[in-house]
Amino acid sequence: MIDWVPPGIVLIAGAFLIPFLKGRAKRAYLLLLPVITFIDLFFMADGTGWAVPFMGYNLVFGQVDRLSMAFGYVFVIMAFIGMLYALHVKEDGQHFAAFLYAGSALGVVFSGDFLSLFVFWEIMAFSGVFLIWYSRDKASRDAGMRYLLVHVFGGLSLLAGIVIRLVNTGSLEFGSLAHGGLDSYLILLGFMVNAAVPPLHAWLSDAYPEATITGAVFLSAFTTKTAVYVLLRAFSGFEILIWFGAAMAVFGVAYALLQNDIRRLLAYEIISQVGYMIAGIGMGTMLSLNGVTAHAFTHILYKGLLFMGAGAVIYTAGKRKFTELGGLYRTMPLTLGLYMVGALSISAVPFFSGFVSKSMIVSASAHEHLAPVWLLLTLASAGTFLLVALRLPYFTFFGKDSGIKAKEPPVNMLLAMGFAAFLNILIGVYPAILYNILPFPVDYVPYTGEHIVWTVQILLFTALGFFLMRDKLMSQPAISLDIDWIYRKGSRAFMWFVEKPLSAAAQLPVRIFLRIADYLMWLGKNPTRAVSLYASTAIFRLLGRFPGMPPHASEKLLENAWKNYPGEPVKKSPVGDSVILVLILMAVYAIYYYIVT
Amino acid sequence: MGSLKNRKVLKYLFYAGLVIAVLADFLMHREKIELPWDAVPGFNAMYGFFSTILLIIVLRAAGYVLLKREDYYD
Amino acid sequence: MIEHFPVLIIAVGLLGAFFTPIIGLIRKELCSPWASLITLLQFLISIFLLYQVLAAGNISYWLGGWQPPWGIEYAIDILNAFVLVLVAGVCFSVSIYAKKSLGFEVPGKELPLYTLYILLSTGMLGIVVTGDIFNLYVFLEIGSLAAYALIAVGDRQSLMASFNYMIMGTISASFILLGIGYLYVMTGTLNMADLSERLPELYGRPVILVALALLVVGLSIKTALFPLHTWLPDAYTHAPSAVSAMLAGTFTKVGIYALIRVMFTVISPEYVIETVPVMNILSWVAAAGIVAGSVLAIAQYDIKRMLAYSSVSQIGYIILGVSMANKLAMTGGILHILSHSLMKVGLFMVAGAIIYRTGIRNIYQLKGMGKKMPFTMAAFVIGALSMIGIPPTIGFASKFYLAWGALEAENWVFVAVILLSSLLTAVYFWRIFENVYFGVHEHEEIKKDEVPLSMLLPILIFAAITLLLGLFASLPIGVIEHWVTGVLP
Repeated sequence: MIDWVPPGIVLIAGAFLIPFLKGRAKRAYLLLLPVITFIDLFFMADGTGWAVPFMGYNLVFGQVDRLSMAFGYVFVIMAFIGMLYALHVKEDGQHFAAFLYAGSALGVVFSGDFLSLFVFWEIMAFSGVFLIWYSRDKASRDAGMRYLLVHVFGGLSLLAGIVIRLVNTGSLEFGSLAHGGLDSYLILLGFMVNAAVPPLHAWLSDAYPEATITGAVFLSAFTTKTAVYVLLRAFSGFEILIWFGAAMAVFGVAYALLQNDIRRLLAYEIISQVGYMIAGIGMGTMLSLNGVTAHAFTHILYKGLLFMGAGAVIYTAGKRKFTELGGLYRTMPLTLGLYMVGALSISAVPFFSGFVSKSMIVSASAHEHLAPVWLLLTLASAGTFLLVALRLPYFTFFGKDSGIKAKEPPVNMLLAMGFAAFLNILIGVYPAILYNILPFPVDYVPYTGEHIVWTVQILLFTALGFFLMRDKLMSQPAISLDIDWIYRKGSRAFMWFVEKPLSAAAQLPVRIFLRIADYLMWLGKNPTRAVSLYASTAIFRLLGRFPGMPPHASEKLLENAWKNYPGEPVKKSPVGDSVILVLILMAVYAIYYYIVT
Repeated sequence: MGSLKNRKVLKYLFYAGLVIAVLADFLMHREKIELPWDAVPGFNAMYGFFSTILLIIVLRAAGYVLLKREDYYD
Repeated sequence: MIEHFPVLIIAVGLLGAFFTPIIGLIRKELCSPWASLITLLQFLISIFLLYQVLAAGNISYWLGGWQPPWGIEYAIDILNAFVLVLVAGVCFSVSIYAKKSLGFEVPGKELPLYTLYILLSTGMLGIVVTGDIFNLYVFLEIGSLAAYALIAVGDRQSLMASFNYMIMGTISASFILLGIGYLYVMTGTLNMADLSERLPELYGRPVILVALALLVVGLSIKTALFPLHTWLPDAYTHAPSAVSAMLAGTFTKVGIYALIRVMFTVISPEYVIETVPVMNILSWVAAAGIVAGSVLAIAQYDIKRMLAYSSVSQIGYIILGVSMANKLAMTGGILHILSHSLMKVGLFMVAGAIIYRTGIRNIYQLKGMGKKMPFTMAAFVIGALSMIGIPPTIGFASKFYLAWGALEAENWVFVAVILLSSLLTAVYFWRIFENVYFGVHEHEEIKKDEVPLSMLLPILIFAAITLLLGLFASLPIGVIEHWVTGVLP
């Protein structure tokens, strides 16, 4: 009991020391803290530790079993990699927020009760937003605010679910919830917000590309995977999740296709990859749950690597769009090589980490004879390879030369990427390392003849498709005549369809979300005035004028009122009004009391 | 991207890879058939290829829209 | 000596207030330490009283040895002792803070200010300590008169604010006096315990109903319960910051204490809950106040005014908890007296600190303040998080109990109101965080420039207590639950 400390607490408490250290000592400390946490993990004993009585309940900070340990390992490893990658950052606040964020994710993983889970859940949301805001521009501030609004909403739903559950069952214990009932649906909703399940996904693709270069690496690892963990524990075998997950996998890829910003593409790819995990959770078999854990593990490593690679490009080239990048392979060969390790891992190429984990989930869908799910997941797989391993590197590192004088990023960034790449290959070559820490015993063999052949077929023919059509993968500044001719003559109707309803439908969730957020901000400037504006507009519409005023003057008045919004918020009511109110209330109370008795 | 000759070699290696991958499927022993197409040799190759074509068409169409939009905002 | 503590807490204050001008005539600078000394004494006595009540049970002290109901009785149970410690603690801490803050905002007025300060503190403690309902009214007037004067010392608009408050306060006082008068005419006694014995036989009479309505409305004004809150925003905005902090943390809370005492001790809980739905109506009014206060707070950009409207909302929480009248909600409501007091005093002191250093009151001009005053702003963040109800702060514990109580009552509207208002609270505080930490300051390089230690220390202590009590919330909850189980059937 005494010989280990909940790892989340180590990171969070340790973060408070950062401001007191300087220079080299600080950098050493930043790396040492995850290492200490990792060592701490080895001392954790299975079972329930660190139960703290609180308001008549037990808060459990150390619920340890194989599942939480697997997530614990990868979270700490990622905290180390992310911190190594961010070592050159001078601002203490960024490191502080990162540790708080990673520490609270660890806290969630080892929570044995809903209350402490909720506490860490909220810390995670509130510290994550700082990783976005430290970009210090308008786009990131707005995106961060929207991120926060969504997470506060999700947190409230979660809290409501927890409280209802507490009242109904009298227990705060965190365990399986897949039985239905209002409480479990509210909790599910809260979890799904963090897992970025469409249509609740918009915060992710909105916010991650605006985060700081180093912050995005942390963000890509923890929030969604923490959600996967809690869903895995609470809702495994909840069948609807299979379909959510499969749809999500394709949805993420389809949206990623539309992106021009490299990190936004990767952000949509997170949604796609988390889709695999959600589907696996829904299947609920031992193989699929092992697969989900394994895929979460490898996904953190390779997606972190991809975000680091993209970050390195943005860091040195200063550009983040395909249309502005290209030809960087000459000056950034190391970055390219390391990025490709991540890209091949996410594409599930044999001997890279994604292969040994993703195939578990896909195979599980085959075992369950879920043919449509298999087709959707495989389609997403091909699309992922196309996007992340072919399109992104092709247009960033090869393609037309953009003439940007980029160089390799700082050593610490390269080291972090190198370490992540090493782990990805290690797991791909020796899957036993990963399989040994999965929650259930594994009798799955990834490297069988037919499996390798089929995977290679998909990959190679996807590549074939790419090379045949790669010229059509990028919008050129000038459209060549023949293509123009086809679109103009051949399928004007098709183009209209794509242009208007289809693209509108594709952008609809995002647009609605942005509109709501903007409206709330507008309303927040002066809610009372806004309400009175609405009321007076309604009166004007009904009567055509304000009572006792000619129509023209009324219209002018209304127009000015809208123009002057938000105006002066201080509204003083004369004291006489209050006195009359007192008398009215007094009379109403007395009469009401009398009537009732 | 290396010299022209290297490129050609790479290209032929790639084509050889495609052929071998499909041919190998005919010889492969299947431990169990779980989905209907598991028995069809080369199904995965076809599926991968047509998925890609489908996705690229979607992208192309969307790219066209995006380009117009950029003009629109300029 | 020890057995005279209940009256000493008042006597010390009255004597202290009397001697303040004399000390001030000798040396002006001595007024502030003197006020701190007096309030410290009161604080120590109150802690001792709480300890005694917890250890040995309720205290009944007969003033001058006259046996109640003829003499005046000071009756102290857990609730009094709890509020006593809170009020005396806040008064003492703010008095330390006040030295620099008042010295800056209203220089040269130490003499009347500290006299009034001690009087206000004593008046509030008197309300809490007494077991005699007319005595309660007298202390209410002492405290109110001191408060009017203290507010009037503030900036240029404070006179008008104080005048409005005085009119409302006087109406409130006369309503309360009338209510007490009716009760006295009917029963012939003013002792609370005695009243509660004699009243039940009269419960059918309409005059009791009128007395009830008078007391409820009168105390609603004193506690600034929506929609009778109109005096509060102006008063808190224009009073000197130290006075705002003290009033926000104590005076409305004492009003709530009086409401609880009158409703649940003098009149029986069954009567106000079941026979006449006094509590039911109050709970809906409070719920409306919670939402209205939050919405109005969002509309403000003067930091003190925003905090004042937030007080309106938080008072709604307390009254809602008390008036739902089940054990959980009541515990939450009384705990919220403590937590709101801690947070709001801390926040007002921070507002005062910002004004002390920069003179800025507009929250959109607070850019770069996170660098300039890191410790003060950190305390602000803790207080604000507690207001929102983010664990592990005391604000979370009380809101948790309130929400739980609302669920227990199966009133889904109240549950929704409690959660929604949390969201609104987050909105109006997050604007400040954003400006303070991420607002880009255009001109000068920002240098660290904290307030003096005598201001910083109370601020940090309040932030620390907000956090610590959140972690060890079971402590106050245990005490409160003990009282609540004794009162509610």
